[in-house]
Amino acid sequence: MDHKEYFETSDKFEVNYLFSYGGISRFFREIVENRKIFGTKCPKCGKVYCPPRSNCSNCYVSTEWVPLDGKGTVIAAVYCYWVPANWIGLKYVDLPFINALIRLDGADTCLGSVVIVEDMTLNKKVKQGTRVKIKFREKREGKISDFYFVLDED
Amino acid sequence: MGMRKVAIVGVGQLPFRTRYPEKMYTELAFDAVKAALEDAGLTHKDIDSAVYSVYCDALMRQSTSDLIIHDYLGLNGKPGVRVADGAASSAYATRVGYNEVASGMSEIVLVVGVQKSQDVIDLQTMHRGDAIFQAESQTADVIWENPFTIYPWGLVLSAHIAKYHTPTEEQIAKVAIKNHHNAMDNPNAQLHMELSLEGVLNSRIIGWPTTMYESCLYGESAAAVILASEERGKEITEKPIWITGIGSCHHNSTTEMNLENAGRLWAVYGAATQAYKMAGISNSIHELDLVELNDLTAGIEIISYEELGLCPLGKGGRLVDEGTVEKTGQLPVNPSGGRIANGHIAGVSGVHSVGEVALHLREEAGKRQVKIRSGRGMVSTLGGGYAGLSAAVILER
Amino acid sequence: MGELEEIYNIIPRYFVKERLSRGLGQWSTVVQFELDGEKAFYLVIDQGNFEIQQGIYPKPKTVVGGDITALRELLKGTIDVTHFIANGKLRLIRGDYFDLLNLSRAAYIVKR
Repeated sequence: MDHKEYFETSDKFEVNYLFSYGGISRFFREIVENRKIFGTKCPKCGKVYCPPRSNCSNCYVSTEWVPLDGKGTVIAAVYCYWVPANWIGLKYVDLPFINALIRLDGADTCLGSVVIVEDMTLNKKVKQGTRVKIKFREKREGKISDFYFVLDED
Repeated sequence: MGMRKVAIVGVGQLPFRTRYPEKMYTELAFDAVKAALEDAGLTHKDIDSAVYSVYCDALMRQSTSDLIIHDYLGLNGKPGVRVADGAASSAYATRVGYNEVASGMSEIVLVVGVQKSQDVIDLQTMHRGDAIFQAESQTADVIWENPFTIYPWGLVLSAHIAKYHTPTEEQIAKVAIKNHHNAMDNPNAQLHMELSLEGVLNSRIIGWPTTMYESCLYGESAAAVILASEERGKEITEKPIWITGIGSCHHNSTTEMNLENAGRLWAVYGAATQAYKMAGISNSIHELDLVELNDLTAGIEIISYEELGLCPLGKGGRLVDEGTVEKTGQLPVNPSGGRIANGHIAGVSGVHSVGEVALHLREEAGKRQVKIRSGRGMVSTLGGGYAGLSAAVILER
Repeated sequence: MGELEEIYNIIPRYFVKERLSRGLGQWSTVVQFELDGEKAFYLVIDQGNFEIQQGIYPKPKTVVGGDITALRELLKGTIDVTHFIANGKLRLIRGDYFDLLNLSRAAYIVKR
């Protein structure tokens, strides 16, 4: 068939969710209602999960909620300079932005978030080892975008 | 162990193209399968079972497409199964197909990967590329990665550089140049373009350090291989290529990262380790003739050298500087041009690479043919959220 | 010739709609430049037509700060704007980052 002979038509696929966080609901409730961040701790091995898990993946027992102070260390940072024009994250951050894997104090796993700094020069203020602290947005809807991190200069 | 030997007896590859508007996915799959069957001298009636690698339903505008493809291929009544594991899908599919033959369950198994990606469109920008990103966005963890962690492999690369101080920007750029140069000899490649060091380094930064020319392409394609038992394989072809090692590994590479173990692609390491063990390979850089791996970005290729044990951790950049991984070097990596220049589409790249390595081992790879010394080649794939999916295949003649 | 004068010359001479791709030919914005130690100036881009003016525009869409040498380098079209952002030589003070990406793309197309 000649390349130009194809025929195109349009369609749309749209689905709305009102979804439940199930066993980790408390994580988002604490963020929205109390501006607090929690992890979950295994009573058997002591591992603290943040992002939280209601079950310990090692010991197969239920975990317990533990408050975290919201300070942490950057383990990895990517400075993002390009995204598609319609990227949903642009509702929350400007370009360029810094996506960081952060290990919160007291936690044994990493949370992916953004670090917002004044000086966006590459690898200057935010890099592996940088100390950061959590900040909560004014409008919170129960998502990871409800918070971000800034330099902990204390 | 009681497992039978498994041979690749047919290879069908379509070129990677940005878009095949004149073909639906059923037609692309058909073309690849027909080519593989012709290569093997078989018909579709000879197939006992099929494994389908199709990655993203939203891009395809069809769920459970494997049933529709199975019917279209004239295979009604025979077993079929679908494998979807991100950009590593079709290498996982190869493992499933391998197991069917090795266990004695089937004699001849078709493994086919197909993916459309350009039927989507963003109505604001009228660009298809913008819509692809959105359509695939549920590949990443929708709670913990979306929306900000859009480059999980970028986090691994950044952590690796912070810890080992390599790869450098120049080394990464050299990989991009190598792969684009290799693609010039590959008629299947989506991109035929030589690059300069300045051109790569000065092009648009996507997520530092990765620039535009160091990022994988995205498009549409289909590819197929036919697997057969030893007995049938030797009847079908004079050049059976044996699958002697195979591995797969799901391993979240970012959530558990800490300062001590930062920058690892654990899934790639895990899959390769299994495959090497099975194939009896203990010193890969000396025992392989070529490697086709998923260079989702040029920097990821360099980390992959380390995870594949071609060199110690933190020393991948040196393989680039010394020319070891060039087409003319000791161990060519991505002589096809890789994902950066040959092309990439999750669902297809793995089985395309399996066919590619098989062609090299048969010495039928045309202008891009590498020197065959030990008669062994390797495919390594990587994909998914958390940079967490990988499968590896070792082929031997 | 100083860099500012060079920029005043280059814009009307090379950044012309006919040379820009169809995509940039639909680009409209006003970008204000407040570069270190230089007089303010702005670019009016109207459906791909470029015009450069001295002074301060009442309500620009985008405001850019930084080093004039960097802007001159950007307009040569060989280094993408993301590098100047990364090394801090150009700064988006406020507005639409995609205006900067578009400007860089335009410079790449006309290569001056």
